[in-house]
Amino acid sequence: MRAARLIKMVLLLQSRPSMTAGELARELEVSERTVTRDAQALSEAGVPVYADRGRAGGYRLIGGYRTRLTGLARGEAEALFLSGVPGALREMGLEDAASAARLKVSAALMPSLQGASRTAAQRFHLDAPGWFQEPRTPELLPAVADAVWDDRVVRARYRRSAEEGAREVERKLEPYGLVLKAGVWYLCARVAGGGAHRVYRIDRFTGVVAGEERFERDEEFDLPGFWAERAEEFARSILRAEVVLRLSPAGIRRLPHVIEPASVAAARESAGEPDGQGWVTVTVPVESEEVAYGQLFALGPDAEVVAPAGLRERIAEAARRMADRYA
Amino acid sequence: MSAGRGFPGSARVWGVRGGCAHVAYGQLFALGPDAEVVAPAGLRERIAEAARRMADRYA
Repeated sequence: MRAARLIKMVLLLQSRPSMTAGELARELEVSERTVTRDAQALSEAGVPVYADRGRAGGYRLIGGYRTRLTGLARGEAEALFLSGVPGALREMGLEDAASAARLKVSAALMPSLQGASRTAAQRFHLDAPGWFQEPRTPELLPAVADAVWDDRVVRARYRRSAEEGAREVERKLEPYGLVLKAGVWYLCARVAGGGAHRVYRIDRFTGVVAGEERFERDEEFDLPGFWAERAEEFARSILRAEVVLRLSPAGIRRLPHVIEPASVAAARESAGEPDGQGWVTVTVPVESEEVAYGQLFALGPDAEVVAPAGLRERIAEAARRMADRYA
Repeated sequence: MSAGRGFPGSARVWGVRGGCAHVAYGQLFALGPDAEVVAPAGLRERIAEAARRMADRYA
């Protein structure tokens, strides 16, 4: 514990010209008396800590005492400090490691790069979850992240989705990688012993135990490529029905705001020639008539459902009732 | 958003604080016949007009 604190103290002093005992005490979460004792211990161990006395005094390292990292470009240094990324690391239980890493890099950067941390963090910030969504960190995320780091097999209890019966199953998994998508964490994993990789929502895990058993990673596995493929498959798989729709020019512009990108792309491909008022007829893949009702009603008078007849009649009836209400 | 006094049945009057009339139009029109904008008058008239045109289109 004390050794870790002494190292942290050296790194803090490397990152700044000097620090008061109070500043060091706050950073290290100890008393000023402990700071004094630690500085003394460092000095005795040969680290050139110098104490400036007086009101403006403090501790500093003399003689340019520092560890230098070589080959780190300014852009690379700045990328380490993108301020939203530590948030994701914190959720994975890596906050301490991330803080220590940033501190070490700060301490070791060449003087010309010392501003890199401030530069990036003040100009770029990642806030992954969508608007009006309360981000919730799954309780078991740190345990899963640990297993991913160490290639350790986990025994996991997983609550299936409502469509799959919402029942719990137990699986022995080889956890390959984590993905944070729109504020939701997913695990890409393979059932131990072979088989295809699958995607699991971390917040559906109800228990995760990592043992000592390690698995050998399939070196061919490419996490970004796998995720892109699965995301596209998922978007396609939920679109099981079709709606024929007439759209005004304003309706065409607003369509991407009410339906999924894959449906917009399909509508665009199916679009016929515009009529005299600029209306076009398109075929739109949708999840279901129920979902399409809510999505397409929002387009108001800028859209007209042609088929299926049941959906057309439902929207027509709702439009009549709405007009009556405002009459 | 603040809830007003409850009315018989499930209907309630809500005060909705919105940043932009255009966004409010899109969001509240999507509620269809299950909502009625009382004020502001401009937004109410815009939704009423759109509902009339929509009903005519399906007539």
